[in-house]
Amino acid sequence: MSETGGSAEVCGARTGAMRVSWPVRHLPGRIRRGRPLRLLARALVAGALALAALHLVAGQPAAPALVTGVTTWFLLTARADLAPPPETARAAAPER
Amino acid sequence: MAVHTQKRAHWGPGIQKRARWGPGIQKRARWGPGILRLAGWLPLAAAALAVWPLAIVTAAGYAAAWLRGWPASRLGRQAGWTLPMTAVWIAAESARGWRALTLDPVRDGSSGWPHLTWLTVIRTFLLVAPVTIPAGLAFAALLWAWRTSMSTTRTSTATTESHGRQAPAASPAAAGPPAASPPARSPVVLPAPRDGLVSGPHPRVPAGSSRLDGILGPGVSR
Repeated sequence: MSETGGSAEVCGARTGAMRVSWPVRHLPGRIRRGRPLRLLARALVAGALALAALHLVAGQPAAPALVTGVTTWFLLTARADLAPPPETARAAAPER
Repeated sequence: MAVHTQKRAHWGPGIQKRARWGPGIQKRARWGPGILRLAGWLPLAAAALAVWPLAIVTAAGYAAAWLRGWPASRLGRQAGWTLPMTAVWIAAESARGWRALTLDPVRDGSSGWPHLTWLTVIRTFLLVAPVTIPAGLAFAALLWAWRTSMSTTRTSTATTESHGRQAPAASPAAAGPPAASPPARSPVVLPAPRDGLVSGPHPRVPAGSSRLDGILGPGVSR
């Protein structure tokens, strides 16, 4: 393996890692600027529903499926409680 | 002579009574089609009772789409988002064997009947929910699409007949506030609800900003 090829691989990996971590890095700020209480309530409801489903149909194949359903619902609906990402917010702001 | 007059006077109300039977017979004639229509709905009601979890999900999805003026595609997308749940359920069931996969929904669906309590009803619903929720939402989407296409056809027919008279809306949400749309100023024929927009007086309002969306979440639809 040549020196340049190795450095290119490392660079690609770093870029990929940055792409993955970018939403995660901005997540706390988006939560803070969004609707944190509503998000918390949503998380509590999702947790309670998952626990109730696990309690009611314990040991059945429906239990992991219901937890998946509740998780999907939470992930899809929680986006509405987050503030828009900084780039989107900058683009949406009126030009002065 | 006086006796005859009295008799006629006596017969008078009798004749009137006979005359009154006419509407009674008409009422019976009106009852006939009603009973027939009811008899036509009974098999459907029996089928809905037999597959009550599916019927509940379908009715809930249809009612939500009707009340909020959602397009059928939105219900279809929501049905699609519930498919990961079904995939996990199939994976968990297939670990038990393919025979269990085919028989378990039927067995689970009928398990609540012998001891009918709230807990068993909820438990039965949850056991079959990974199948009935996507299927019910998809069925509701199909029904809603059929309903909206019917109303669109009726609207276009009404337009051709009445030449611009305002047509009835497909749903209460699509109707809009009556005070905001004076018929004299805007003789607009309301179309069927379209993607994310409630038709009505200008400006068009996005349908995704309601209280129900706060529960279901606009993320599901976008």
